Amino acid sequence: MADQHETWPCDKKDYVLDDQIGVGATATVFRATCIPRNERCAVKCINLEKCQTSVDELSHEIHAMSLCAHPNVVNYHTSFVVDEELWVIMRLLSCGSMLDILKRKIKAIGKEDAAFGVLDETTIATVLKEVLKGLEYFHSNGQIHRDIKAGNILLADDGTVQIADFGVSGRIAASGGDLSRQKVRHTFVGTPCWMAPEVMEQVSGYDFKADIWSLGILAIELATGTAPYHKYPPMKVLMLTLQNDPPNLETNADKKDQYKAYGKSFRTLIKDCLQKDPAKRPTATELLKYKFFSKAKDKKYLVHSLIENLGAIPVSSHAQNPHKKKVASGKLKKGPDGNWEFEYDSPENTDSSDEDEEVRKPAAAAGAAAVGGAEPAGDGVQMGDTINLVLRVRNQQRELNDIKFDFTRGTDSVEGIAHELVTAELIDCHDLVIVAANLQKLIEHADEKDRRSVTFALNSGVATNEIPDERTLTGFAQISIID
Amino acid sequence: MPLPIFGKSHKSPADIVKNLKDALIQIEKGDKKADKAAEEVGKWLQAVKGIIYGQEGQEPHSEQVAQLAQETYSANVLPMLIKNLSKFDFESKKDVALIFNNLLRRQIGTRSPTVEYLCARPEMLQQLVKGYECADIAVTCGSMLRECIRHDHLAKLVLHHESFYQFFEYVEMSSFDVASDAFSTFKDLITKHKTMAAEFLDANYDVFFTHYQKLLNSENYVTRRQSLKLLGELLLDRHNFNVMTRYISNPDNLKLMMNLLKERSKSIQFEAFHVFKVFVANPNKPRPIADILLRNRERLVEFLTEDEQFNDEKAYLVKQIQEMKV
Repeated sequence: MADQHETWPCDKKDYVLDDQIGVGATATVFRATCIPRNERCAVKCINLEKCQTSVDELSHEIHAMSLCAHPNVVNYHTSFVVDEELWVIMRLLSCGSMLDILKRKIKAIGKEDAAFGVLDETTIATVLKEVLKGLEYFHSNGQIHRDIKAGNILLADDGTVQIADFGVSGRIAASGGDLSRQKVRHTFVGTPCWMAPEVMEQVSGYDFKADIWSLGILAIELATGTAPYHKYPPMKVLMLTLQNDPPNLETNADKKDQYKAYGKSFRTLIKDCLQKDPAKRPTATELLKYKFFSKAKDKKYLVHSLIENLGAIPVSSHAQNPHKKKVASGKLKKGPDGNWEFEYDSPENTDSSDEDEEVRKPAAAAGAAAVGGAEPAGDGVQMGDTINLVLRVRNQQRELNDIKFDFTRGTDSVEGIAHELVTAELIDCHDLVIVAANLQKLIEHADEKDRRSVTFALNSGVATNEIPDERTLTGFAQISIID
Repeated sequence: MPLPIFGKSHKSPADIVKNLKDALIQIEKGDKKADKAAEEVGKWLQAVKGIIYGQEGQEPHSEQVAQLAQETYSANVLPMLIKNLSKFDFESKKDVALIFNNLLRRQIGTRSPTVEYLCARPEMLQQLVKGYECADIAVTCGSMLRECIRHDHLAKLVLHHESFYQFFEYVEMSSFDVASDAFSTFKDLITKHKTMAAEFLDANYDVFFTHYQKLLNSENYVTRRQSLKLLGELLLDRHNFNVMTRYISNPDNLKLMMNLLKERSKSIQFEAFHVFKVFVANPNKPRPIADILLRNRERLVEFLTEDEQFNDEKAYLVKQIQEMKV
């Protein structure tokens, strides 16, 4: 949709891939050339077979990118399908992410000096100002990025700073972009260290202000080289963020006065961003008026301070140590059982929670429980016997219902009954086979005293606001034999 | 005379719409410089947005919004906005969709005035469908079209127009963003209003599924995977009971699913399995279907048991196939 869009070809043969600049579990980013345009670009190849993200979710990501045309948001050119891969053509930002820059800088000045601050205030102000301009645009579009961190801030060789990785970016107004309707989101995504408390709590939903918290963490990261709670496992980060006072520059300090080089205006910025009450955090537009940004310089300054000065230090390629960053960017999501689950991806990976997968999990669990299910029927029950059964399942209004029916061997068939249940709208079509399968299992073992009941996960899953729970039969159903 | 301190933000809705219309006439004539005219349109679209969404943190004024909507209808600017969409700049295109979609959702009591307006001008819907043929406005038109489709009257107009079959081309566009946008509109059309869609599928079964077959056999992996998934959803929806019965009675459809089960892609196998199981679970399998299953009994049982996926349902299907009587 961007101006250049139509002129970027959608054919594999028009691109020559050079070296890899990033590798993730399911995606690889290449430096490339677009032949007809004779122009450098980045090509992100996402393997759709390995990728846990559903195609629908990927198209949301692409859609979010295509709605952005701003100097501080990564330029999306086009995307197309090549065999089982999705190729996303983007602007090449050859100097890597701010995380790479931080590492190179630490190498350049040595660990001892870096302990007193990695980047100076002028550089930080210049970078953050650009990030804020991108965020301001993002937010005015009705979008939330949800994963602002140094690893997602990219640098071009002309000093341009761009926000990348829309993997978890969500539109607040998901349906058709109505900015006034649905103002908060309830999904749990992002990277724990940079995540705002209200995103972790998932009680009241969250809005643009979640990005402002992450920006505050980013500010600390650019100064100290790491996010405040980077050395802790994700669950501990959750606890620290929720229970402690908001972090600051000193949270990670070993010595007093370690970060005294950073002045008051910078500390004010961090403090205002990291307020637990999102309503108290300033907007991106308000932040841009902060005194701290009077220190900001232009692109050329960044070329000098971040690119030329670090020219001799090799870019730490993701390809060389793909495992190293895994913990730092582990993504957290609430599992179908209500427990926290962790996914560990490298920063290039755009995986986020996959609704299909979540639906499939309970089915797989039921599958595992049913291993003995296909054994031949015991001979205790004779042909012609009538068995009384009850199916306990939630209806469309989510109320628990007991559906009583009988089954006569030789007369009734399992699939016939399952069909009747569907036709009578007592169960969802998606559950026809799973109900039939479990009914079959129960009937075969009807003579065994200890197998009078079977509980199984439903294919139809649960309503969006529910969490599957076997005990309350949410997303599950139970068939029992009654005497 | 308005005080200069208030500037243009205090122009009345009528003035704003009039200015927008003038700018649109300019851009349509094409005598002014193109970017100059586009800039003018952009400026007035911003003003319209300001009224609808409120400015500088202030809530919108409902009277002003009502007046603006009224002026928009009477000046007929909506058709002009859509007709000239490709001439606008990037942000203006997004603004058009934002304004259009907001007006579409506006209700007065139980009435939706914009829906009524569009019902009387079905050619506008056709223009939006046609938008998919133009890369730079495709997703903007798509977002407006999906907002229209939420209303059953408008969905019906799109579904029952001959151009509906164009979607089978659009979902195969080489650009992924356009193709996937077209696919979600296509999906909405045949799933959103269940009864209407079921009637349509039933009445146009042959034409529809002849076209659909091409998607299932597409060269494009995403088209194959997405259309297979949607097929599963369609067949398992009880509104489509007739369509399902017809579909699972045709041996060619069963053969196709058995071929798709053999694809090396796990995702395609997964989606194909969920269609395949409907054939097997059918209590009244027609003879030709039963024959195919019987002929392939050994191979199917072997195939289904070697894979770890969907054990529970599979065990059941295996049993069904094994127990079939010749």
